[in-house]
Amino acid sequence: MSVKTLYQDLILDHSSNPKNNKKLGFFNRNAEAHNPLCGDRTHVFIKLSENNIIEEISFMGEGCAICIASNSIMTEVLKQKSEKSAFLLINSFSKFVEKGDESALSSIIESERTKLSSFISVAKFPMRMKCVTLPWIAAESALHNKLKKIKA
Amino acid sequence: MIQRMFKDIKDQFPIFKNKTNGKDLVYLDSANSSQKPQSVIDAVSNFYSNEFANVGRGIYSLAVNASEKYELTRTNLKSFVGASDDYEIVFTKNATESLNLVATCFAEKFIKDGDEIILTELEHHANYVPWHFLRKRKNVVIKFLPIDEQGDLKVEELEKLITPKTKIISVTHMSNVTGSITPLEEIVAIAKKHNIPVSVDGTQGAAHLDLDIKKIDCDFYSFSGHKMYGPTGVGLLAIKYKWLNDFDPFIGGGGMIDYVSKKDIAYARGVWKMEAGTMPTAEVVALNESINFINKLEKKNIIKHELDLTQLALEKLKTNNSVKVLTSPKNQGGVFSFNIDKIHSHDVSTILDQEGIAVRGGHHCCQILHDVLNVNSSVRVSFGVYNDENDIDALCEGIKKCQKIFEKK
Repeated sequence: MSVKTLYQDLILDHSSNPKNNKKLGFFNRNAEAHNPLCGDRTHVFIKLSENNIIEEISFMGEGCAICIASNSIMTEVLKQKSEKSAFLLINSFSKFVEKGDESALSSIIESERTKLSSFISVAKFPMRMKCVTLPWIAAESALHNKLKKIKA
Repeated sequence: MIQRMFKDIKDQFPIFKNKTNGKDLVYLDSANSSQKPQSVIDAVSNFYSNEFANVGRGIYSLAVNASEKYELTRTNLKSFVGASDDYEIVFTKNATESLNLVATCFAEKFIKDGDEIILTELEHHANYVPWHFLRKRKNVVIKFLPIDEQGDLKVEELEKLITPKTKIISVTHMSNVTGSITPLEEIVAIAKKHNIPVSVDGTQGAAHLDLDIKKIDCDFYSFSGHKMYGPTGVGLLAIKYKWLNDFDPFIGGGGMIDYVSKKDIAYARGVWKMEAGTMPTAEVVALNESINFINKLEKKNIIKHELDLTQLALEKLKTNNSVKVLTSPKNQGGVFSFNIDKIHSHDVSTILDQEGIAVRGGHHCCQILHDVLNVNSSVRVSFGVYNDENDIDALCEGIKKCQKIFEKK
């Protein structure tokens, strides 16, 4: 497994120029997650509309390239999703990352699938799994609107 | 030029015969745990194959011989750490357990609500969490001796931190992040003026630094077998003899009693009261081989070898402007940590791993120190007897590879 498959261009692009990397002016959901193994942390902010659509989503945090890219891509993908489809997507993505199985993303539209599938190699680097999943854990708990801390 | 005093030493470590990710292993994580020489591995196998019996119990020959071997390690450890009869050695699970025992079975007996403990900003979590437990139970105040800009402890500020409520000082022998070596004798001298016992986390010191605990004159010295080319599962606690009776056993059971009746129990005397149940016997026996291994190479040669490697590595890394070493201690052992501009330590570790280079990325169980240095994490390089110049060249090349991958951004 070449390390280049892990650090794909899309991941490097997002880690050097992360999207939605700010605190939202208005948010009604937020949660933090951190990885005690390395001290990485992420704080996700969500503006959920009255009809449960993610109108705005952003993050602040410190982390490795994989974690920052995952944060950035996640905010792009979850924006404008309904709360329900966001939960489904989070679930599919976590299955995809853990098993390295692209079929878990089959129900997702192609443009989003391309972005998400750039994390395919992480399954071959189990020590880096948490780097990818950390932002998604934060987003999930933000939607549940509770502070959730993960354990490594 | 590094002296070739340990030429061919890698041959004694079977792990280096294997490839890692298709590359020769460059092991730069001895501060985490050291690799094992064949003699130590053989000692475990030999004990189980030919000499095994539980120790301190049976009176048949096999048990007597096993017990003698177990005690031989204790005797040899005493001279290894420079302890005279003023100290006793207790076998534990690891240095972490040893430090927990000092906090729980000794310090807690003398500590009241509002009393104070002094640690340092260099401490590993193993020498902070046990004291935090005590803080939770007894409302104790924990003070931290700060470091200066070079990453060395500001020993001159210790006196200011001490009050009549200070009950114990617990410090590391060497930082597992920056390699800064603690001036223990100075600290103990100050503590003694105030009759405060000093506990030392010797995890990084035992295998890599000059060790003479009688000269240091500390009250407790904790260390681990696995970091000194020995087996996992066995830790050590050197206790100044005068405190042995004040030290309560933590685990009760077989082997630690003197007399048991329905009404009361008397504990065994000396160190035996601290070693309840069947201990990691084969590991203790094999630890003797790791002492032999270190003694044969001679500590002074090991210290020079690791220091030369550290200086060479730091010199070579200096030529790379993107590499920032965390601190430059005045008195440094074979450990240092760094960051590469704009590349996270975990990304560096993963890329180096693909080149067969094992380093540690993260906060190395020292979040306080990383907070003080205002970095989220770092990449740590630590040396052992088996490292050489080629390892440093591999590291420098690996770092360039990290930069190449990330400069595409």
